[in-house]
Amino acid sequence: MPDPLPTISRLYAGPFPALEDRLTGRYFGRAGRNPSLEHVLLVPSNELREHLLKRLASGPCGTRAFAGVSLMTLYDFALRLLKHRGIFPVELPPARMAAATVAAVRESYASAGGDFRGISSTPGFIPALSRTLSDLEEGWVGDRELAAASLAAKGRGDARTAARWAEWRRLRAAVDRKVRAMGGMTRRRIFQEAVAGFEQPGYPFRVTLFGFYDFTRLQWTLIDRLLSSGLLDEVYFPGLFDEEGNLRPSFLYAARAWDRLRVAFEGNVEFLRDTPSGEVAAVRERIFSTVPPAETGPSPFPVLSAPHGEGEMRLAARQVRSTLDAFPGASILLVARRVPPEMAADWERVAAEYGIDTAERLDVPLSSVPLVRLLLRMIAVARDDFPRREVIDVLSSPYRRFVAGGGGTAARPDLWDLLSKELLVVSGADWETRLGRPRRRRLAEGDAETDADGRAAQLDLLRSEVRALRASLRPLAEARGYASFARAVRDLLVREFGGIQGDTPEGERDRRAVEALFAILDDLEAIPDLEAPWPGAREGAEGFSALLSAQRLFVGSHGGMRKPGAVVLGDAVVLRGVTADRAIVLSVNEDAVPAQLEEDPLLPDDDREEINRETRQPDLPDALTLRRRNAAEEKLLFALPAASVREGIAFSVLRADAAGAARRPSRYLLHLLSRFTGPAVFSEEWEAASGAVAARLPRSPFAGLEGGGPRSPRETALLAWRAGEDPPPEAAGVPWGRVRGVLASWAARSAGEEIFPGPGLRVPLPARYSASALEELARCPYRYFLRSVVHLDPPEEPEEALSLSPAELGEIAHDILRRLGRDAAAGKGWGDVSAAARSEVDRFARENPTGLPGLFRIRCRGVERDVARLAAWEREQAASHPGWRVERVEESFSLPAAPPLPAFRGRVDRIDRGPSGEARVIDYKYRDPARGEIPPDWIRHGLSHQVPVYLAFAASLTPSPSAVSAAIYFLRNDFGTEEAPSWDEVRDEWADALAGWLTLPAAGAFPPLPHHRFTSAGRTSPRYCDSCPFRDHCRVSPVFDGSEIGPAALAARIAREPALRPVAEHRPWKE
Amino acid sequence: MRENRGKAATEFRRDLAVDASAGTGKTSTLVARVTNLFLADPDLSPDHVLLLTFTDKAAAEMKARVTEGWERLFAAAQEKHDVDGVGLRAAQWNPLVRVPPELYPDFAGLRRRVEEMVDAVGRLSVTTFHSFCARVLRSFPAEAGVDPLFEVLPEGAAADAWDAAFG
Repeated sequence: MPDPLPTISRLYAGPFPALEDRLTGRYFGRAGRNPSLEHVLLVPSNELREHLLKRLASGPCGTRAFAGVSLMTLYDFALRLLKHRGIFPVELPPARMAAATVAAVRESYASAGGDFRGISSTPGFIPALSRTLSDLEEGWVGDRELAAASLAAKGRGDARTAARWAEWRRLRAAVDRKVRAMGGMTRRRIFQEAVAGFEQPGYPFRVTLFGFYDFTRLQWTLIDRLLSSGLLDEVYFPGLFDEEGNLRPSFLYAARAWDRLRVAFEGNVEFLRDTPSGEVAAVRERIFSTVPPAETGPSPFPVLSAPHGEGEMRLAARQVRSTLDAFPGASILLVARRVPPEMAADWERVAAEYGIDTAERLDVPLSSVPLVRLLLRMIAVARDDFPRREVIDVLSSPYRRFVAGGGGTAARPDLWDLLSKELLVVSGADWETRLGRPRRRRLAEGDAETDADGRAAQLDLLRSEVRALRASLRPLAEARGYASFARAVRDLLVREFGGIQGDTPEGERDRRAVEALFAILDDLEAIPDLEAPWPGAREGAEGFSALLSAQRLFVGSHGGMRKPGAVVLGDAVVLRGVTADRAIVLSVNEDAVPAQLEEDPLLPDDDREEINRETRQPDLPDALTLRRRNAAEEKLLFALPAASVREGIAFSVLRADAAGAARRPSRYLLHLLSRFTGPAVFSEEWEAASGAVAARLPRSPFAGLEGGGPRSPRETALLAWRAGEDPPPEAAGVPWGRVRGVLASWAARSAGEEIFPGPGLRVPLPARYSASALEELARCPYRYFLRSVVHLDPPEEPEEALSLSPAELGEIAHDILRRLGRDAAAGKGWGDVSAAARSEVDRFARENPTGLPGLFRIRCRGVERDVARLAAWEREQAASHPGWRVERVEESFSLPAAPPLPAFRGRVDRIDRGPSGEARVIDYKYRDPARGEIPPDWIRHGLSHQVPVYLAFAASLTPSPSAVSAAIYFLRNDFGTEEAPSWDEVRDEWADALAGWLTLPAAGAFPPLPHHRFTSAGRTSPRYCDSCPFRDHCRVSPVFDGSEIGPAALAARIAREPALRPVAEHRPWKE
Repeated sequence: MRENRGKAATEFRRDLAVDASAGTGKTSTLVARVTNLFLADPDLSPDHVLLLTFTDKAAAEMKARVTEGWERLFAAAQEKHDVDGVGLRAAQWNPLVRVPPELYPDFAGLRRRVEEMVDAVGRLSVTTFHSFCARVLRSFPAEAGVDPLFEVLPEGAAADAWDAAFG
């Protein structure tokens, strides 16, 4: 039995579940009792409307609960008010609105100048202006307010700002005029009219407000009138409140709306409470609390740690699946701050794999539909003069019919791409000139096979298709008005588009997209030329593209959010008020939460604040929202899921993005964790410090199959295959045919076969080895493979280009020493260091970036001092060791193979000869002598190769030396020398160790893991890994994995990757 | 060395260039300097400070370090009851951070300031040169004469555009 209608208006406040309980328990039963009265329930979004309808339909009264109740948004209510007064407002459809704006802008700047005149014809201006004008509408900022702002600026002597406000006034008025001339009403006008005739008889209604925590000024004008007229029965205000009825810090953004309503209801407030679980209650209480925890302990809620976006969906699906298995009737929300289309698509795909029902999206971007994408691409192709890659994209789209016909030849767009590239087609007339050019060279023998592919026929086909495409796009460029442009696009769609599927969801989507496109074209065709002159082919086409890109396509008629038991995914703003038992908050990462909102480019926050200052009234919301200073709203949005669920809440964090770049958790999440576990969570070790991570999905797809948790049929089949079983032929969702190749290569890898080079790829090994390449092989075979075999050379970080690196300082020192050494070799002695330094430093500065000039000079003076120390020492040596002389400087060499040694190449800094023909190799190191050099053991174990390679070269010199030796001269900060072990001492052991190392590349095994990762497990990782240019692609890099390096994780990875074992065990010096 | 780091973290009246090798504490000195700057000037707004670096990764790292430090300062200001106590706790996190007692004779003032800093840390611009330049252009499209909704071309598309123009 429903309660009697309240005699007085009332304001209810509390978390969403409590509000919803009260609404569904009391409001709907009473609402239909008086058929002469319409009960209007106003909600802030269509999503909340859908959700409430679903909740009511699942209640005991079923759909009867809706009797006598209208659920609608504020804007729909304003329209309804007008309709009851016989006014049928027309908000211009987007196509006509855009045309009106373009025409208004052109007129406005035809007669007057202004700051925006210079950019008014750029493609982004009209969309940006439309957004700003819409904000002005919502903020009730009109002619009077803009005039006042202009006057105020003039008053303080700021003529430029005054002129900018005057320009805004002109633009707004011009658009307003155009809209009216084209028979439309602005949003502001609709609200104005609705409020003006508010109490006219003929439409008896009562209003209830549900789920609003903020209002724009436009919305508030209507609410204010409802309040003052006594037609507002009840308000359900969402919020988290403390015991004293004060809003908690997380909801401070709602404080102004709350205060206004509380005053309006004269304190007639009832706080509603629900009974959340312990973890939800704790989160609600402590989120953004300023009070530190009295006692620290583990966080009560789980955090999911995902390796990337797709992995996050998989992890979420597992959580949802296990919850639904345990509680079949549970309702679950997935909330993110933003839900890009690819995230929604990922979720729908992964959820289907796990047998989870999803609430389909209500709408999708129109431009995401493939045939609309194709149309947009065609328009871009015509605009950009037929660029090669885009043209091939268009021609190879399955949505485009082949117009020219191939005379029986099947189209091969893959060959078209190749042929057009070979013939150097870039764009424009190249399609005619270069495609028609005969091939100059005679066919080689190898071309016989390719001719069998029918290249000539494909070339003809490509030529005629390009011709046809040009012909079909020509009418777009020749259109002289909106109507003719619309007709040209319609013809194009009818004539050239095809490929819509039958009774598939994609077919349904495509049909709707075509309907939407035709509706837009109808609107375009109806634009009066007089009011909105055609802006020209280029601007018109760009405007049309911008229009399509901004439209959304309604696709939610198959149940959507009303589908019982469906899991809902949406962004925090859209899902405000949608309740559930549990929620998983996705992608709680820095840069996403809080959202990084760009300021309005045309009306930045400072200007908005100026308007707000001028128009501020205590009983009204601020006119304009500020984009960047939105911390309070972002906090509320982060807290909304906790205020919407009762049973449980989990947060999900991405460790890396799809490209492998590490991502950090949001500071909001860290703050929440710190309210339980203390401030130690504000560090790299936040996972360990919080103890909150409950589920962690590894980046490797196969590793992701392991561990607990429910698995999809696809994962189960994959796991069975990994265990050596044949995949079940009926395995759902596993495209075995397509993945067979991938599985086969994984099988080869599991059997320990080589990973690089892949099948069919022949990578020639170096004919000669340099010492540094061999050292790289010993340090990291993966890096050796990429740099020395594949010859990848990653660009340097810009940072290194702007300040001198130690290597560059070494280069300058070597240059000076080369000049001095040549003089010494010519018998001129160790000459003028200053002159040599000046000359080489100037040359370096001419040819390289030097960073800050002052710093560069200081550094170079340091190098000069270091070299001068060596020169002084050399002069002393010349006096004390007569008979020794510098023979060669910077000598390149090449040594033939002498098994077991391979062929070598390299360059030595200097070779000295002694009085008895001894040869001495000298290597300069621009390093501190205190750091020392390579111990002999490293040479014997094949980890250091420079000295032995130099010794081998010295031994080969002509005339044959009586003895060979080598020394390293350290130059930096102080001068020091280090004698290398003698050739006889290290030769045999080094040669054996080197032969062992070379078995790796000779066998074709280039492991994607560095050796030292294994040997260093349990200790700090080698420093060279941190600065490795290939670390982003290295499988054990924390960047690749999105995680920290852990010895246990590395050990586990070796166990999982059998192919790595032989590499891990390969230790030539131990054998 | 330590003296120089102290100067770099506390001297605000002149321009400074810090040149040091990797791993010697440049970032922690910078983080301390920023923290000290905000503590020394209670009216300073995060909108007026810019931290520039070369890579997204370095910017994220720097921002995380500032956030971490300020949150620790905030925790100290909540747990302790005098300026010295907060200063000691801050020094445990970063020995270069100085809480000037003369500016905060009233401890509540320090608490308020630290709360403001934590609340506004999101507005502190820690960004790369590229992002900063893009933001300047976006904020002043009329002055720069650029499309207000311009987008930076991805590398591949930029290379294509270059080829099309000059190839």
